[in-house]
Amino acid sequence: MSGGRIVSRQKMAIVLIIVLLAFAVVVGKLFYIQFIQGSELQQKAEELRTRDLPVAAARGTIYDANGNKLAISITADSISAAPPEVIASGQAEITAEFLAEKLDCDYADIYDSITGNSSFAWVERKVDFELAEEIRAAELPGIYIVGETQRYYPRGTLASFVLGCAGIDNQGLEGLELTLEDWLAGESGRIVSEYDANGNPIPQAEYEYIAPTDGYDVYITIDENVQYFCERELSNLMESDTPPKQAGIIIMRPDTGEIVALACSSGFDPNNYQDYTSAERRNFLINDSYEPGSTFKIITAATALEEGVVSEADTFYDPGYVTVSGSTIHCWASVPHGSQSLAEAIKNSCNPAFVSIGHSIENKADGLFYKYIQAFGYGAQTGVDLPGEAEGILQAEENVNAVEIATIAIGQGIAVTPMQMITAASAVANDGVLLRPQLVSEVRDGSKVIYQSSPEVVRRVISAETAQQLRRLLTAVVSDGSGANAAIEGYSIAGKTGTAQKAGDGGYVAGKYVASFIGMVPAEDPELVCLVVVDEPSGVFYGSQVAAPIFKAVMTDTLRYFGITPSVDSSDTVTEPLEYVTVPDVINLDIDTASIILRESGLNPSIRGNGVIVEDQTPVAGTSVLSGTTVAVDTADISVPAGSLVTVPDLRGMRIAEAASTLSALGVKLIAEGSGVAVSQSPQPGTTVTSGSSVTVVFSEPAVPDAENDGGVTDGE
Amino acid sequence: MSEKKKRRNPDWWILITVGLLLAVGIIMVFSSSQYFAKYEPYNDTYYFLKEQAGNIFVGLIAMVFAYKVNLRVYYRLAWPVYIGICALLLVMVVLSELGLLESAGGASRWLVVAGFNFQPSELAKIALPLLLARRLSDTREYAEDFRYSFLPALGLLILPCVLIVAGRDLSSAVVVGATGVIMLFCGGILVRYLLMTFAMGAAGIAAAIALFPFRMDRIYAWFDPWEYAQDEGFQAVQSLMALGSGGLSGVGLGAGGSKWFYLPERHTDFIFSVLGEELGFLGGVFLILLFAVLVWRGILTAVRCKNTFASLLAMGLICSIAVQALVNLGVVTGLLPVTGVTLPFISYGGTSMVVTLTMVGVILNVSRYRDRI
Repeated sequence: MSGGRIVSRQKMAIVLIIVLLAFAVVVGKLFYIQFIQGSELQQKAEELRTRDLPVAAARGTIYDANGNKLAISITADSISAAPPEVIASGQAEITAEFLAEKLDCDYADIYDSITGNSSFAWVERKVDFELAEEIRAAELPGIYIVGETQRYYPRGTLASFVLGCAGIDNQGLEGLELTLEDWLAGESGRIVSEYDANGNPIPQAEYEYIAPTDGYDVYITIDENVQYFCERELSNLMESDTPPKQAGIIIMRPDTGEIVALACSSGFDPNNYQDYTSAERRNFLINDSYEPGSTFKIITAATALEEGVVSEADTFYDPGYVTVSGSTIHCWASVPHGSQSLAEAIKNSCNPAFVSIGHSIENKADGLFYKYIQAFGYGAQTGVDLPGEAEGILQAEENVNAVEIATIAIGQGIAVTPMQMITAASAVANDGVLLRPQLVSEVRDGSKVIYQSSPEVVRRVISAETAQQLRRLLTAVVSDGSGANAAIEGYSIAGKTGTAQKAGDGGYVAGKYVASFIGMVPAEDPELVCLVVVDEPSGVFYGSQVAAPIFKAVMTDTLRYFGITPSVDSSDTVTEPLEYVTVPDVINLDIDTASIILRESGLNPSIRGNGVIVEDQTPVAGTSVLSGTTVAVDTADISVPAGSLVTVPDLRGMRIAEAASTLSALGVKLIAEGSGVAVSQSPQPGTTVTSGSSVTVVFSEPAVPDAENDGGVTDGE
Repeated sequence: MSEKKKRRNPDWWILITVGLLLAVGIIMVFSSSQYFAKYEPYNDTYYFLKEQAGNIFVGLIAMVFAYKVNLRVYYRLAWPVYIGICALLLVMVVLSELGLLESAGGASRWLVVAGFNFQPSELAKIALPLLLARRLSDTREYAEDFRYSFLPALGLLILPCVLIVAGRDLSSAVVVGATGVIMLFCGGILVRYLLMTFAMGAAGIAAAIALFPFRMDRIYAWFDPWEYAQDEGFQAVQSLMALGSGGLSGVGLGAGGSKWFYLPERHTDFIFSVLGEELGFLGGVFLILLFAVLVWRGILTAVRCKNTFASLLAMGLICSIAVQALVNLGVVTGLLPVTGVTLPFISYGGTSMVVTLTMVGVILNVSRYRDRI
């Protein structure tokens, strides 16, 4: 080995420079990855490592005017998948096969969803508890059972057109559920936790619990008992030998605008809303217009009296028809009414008389009648708290001449919604002041009142004197006129019947009518206004024959129920053949016993649900109803029969959804206090309680997790 | 010989830099391994920390030994070591073909001798520079000659490379081969011959890829790892996600999530991904700077040494470390297709650590014979 060098220093320097440049390239790429692509890559990494378990917010409860629950949130089990774990397990095929068999679904669909390109996927939402238990017990890799809340309507079809329904994600779809979404929905929370690639939770990892905010409770103006009276009569009508196409009833308090009942004959069950077509779920009382016919004469008369174009001293002559600009309008009666006073014209619902009244209004000032029609709220939404409200159809004012005025005066050639009709009539009942119809009386966040309704005045339409005078004139309709079938012993009722031909393509359709009756009780100072609309009655079709008797049946029970005392001395009339009975309390009895007790009281039990124990009844115990009334009996729909003995499980360490689903399996209710992880419970674990009772559990937010607090993270199982 | 007079202290820069690299390395081995080490078959959070501490200890003894040995001994041992290693590599290939070796990731690299695992290809990283340094210094008088200088040197370079490739360890062959080419370049071989060699090397790599199709998928996955994120691109994608999570200063030592079984080879080939995730851009740049300083001081050692053999030896060894570090960093950052190369000083591994520290010992040894320039 000898000295002397041929090794080139320059070449070595070149190598050094190249190596350093290569390092610089690496640094550049590192910069690109960590800064330019950084957030995107970080997000991908987090998606891979974290699982987001949704914690559903409980939708607010909807209560009726008496505080009875009409819509509640219950817990339900859903099956979810963490596709990365399913893939990592290598058992995706077996898992998909198992699930497809259990859920009776297509294998390919299940396989695609559980191996999809996401960190979380629903397999099936809100499944039966037993099924969820089977799947939980199978311990499929990457498949998890998540507690969700589900909307439940304990009264089934009752008031379904008011309540509407909520969808699979607890989102309001129709009715109040939709319009009150912001109040009811709350905000769902999440548990974000980290897992290793083998699906083990990382004890020391950061995780996040975002607590759900439950929705507000809403108290509505509907009284479930009155609602029940309405639905009972509608279902009797629909089940009669001559059922109409559809029918509906609205009952309103004229002095506040509160809607006490709103019922459509095609009642749907919001618990299974998917089983009904959108046509069946359509609330025609709000969403559709009809030609009101003679009930609209209330508006014509109100306008004429207010403007002083007619007085009670005027006489009207009815030859049986009236000719306006070459068109002949017949009166409904086969025998002409002849000469009659205003009171008689109203009582007789005489078309020629009202045509001349309509013309008298227009003679005073052009457009005067329309001004009143619009002032009564026609041609505009009433503002009721339900979605999709129609405005009705007013003919363009510039096209309105003598013929149009003549027909509108008798309620044809104008389309109104039933809600507009009762709202306008309520203005007459409310001494001339038009109010916005209301369904919501109060909104609460726990015990805190968020919103409280008060009467909302739209405008004064007519004077109190005119309103009182008109009501007095309308009383004769019921006591002595076309509305006789609506008369209720002992009560003065201001009312009006209506029978309108239905318009079709190119004119009125022969044989198709809308029969209606509108009544205000008591006439002197009305507490309730009720509109009955029967669409396309079969057989007899006059409002007096079809709608008025329904008004009577509903209002007889309703007046009694509200304790509105009869004002007219009825001592000289014969005794009612029907007697009033008080509804007995059958809650918590088995259905057989309950049925016997109800029959013995002269009532007709109707069992709803598939349980064996009565959970609820409508009308409630103590209500006075006519004998023969149907009492709806709701049975508990839980997997464990109410009253059986169960052992309280240890809930500590569970989250609310988990505790609720554990308890619901036993038919035990959860009363949750606080949020987070269960720290204590009462009764203690191991205690024997009867199902149907409740367990109070105190939850508290877990402390910042550390190595000693491994149990703090649950994976939602 | 007057070397004794000229002998100085070793290069402190190299010593300190290597010390820092080892410190970073053992911390990262612990950080990246502690999660999965809890599970079967290790069942001990500290398993890899302890093992790596042992590896470093053995490596440091080897380093001191390599530092103490007289450079003449290396000169004399060059041929026997080279022949021995090539024989060992040949045995590996034969055993592998007979199916007597356990295969890991498609490559058979491990030889178990009396319960001690080691990779002969790692030893080639010392053997080849040793022999090339001797050969090039022996033939320096006619270095530019094609037949007597270039061809024999090329043959000596190719033999171990072919044997390593035959053992299905292309990445080690690339490191060994690239190191050899750099030595030929610095040892006076004409550049045009080297360009020819490059062409041959490229053809060889292409042939190797064509012969073993599992490498072709890696090439596709290299261009678009996300497309192959579930199979061939899996490692690259996991590495990018780990690095991308780091940002400027990282998620914090020990706090990274990539090591939760997501990132493969997290404590060996992809340890830099964990470092980038936990210590961020700053940590990554710091580590690269340490390597840059080491390479600078190593090449400076070669430049300053007047003895041709010693100079070329130091050059070859430091370049071997540099090339291996660059290949690893290139793979981890997606600049190069995925291939199994460890990061010197940092990755977990016994043979690699001992061989690397032995190289450092030799370079420190050479650094004592420096001129003032």
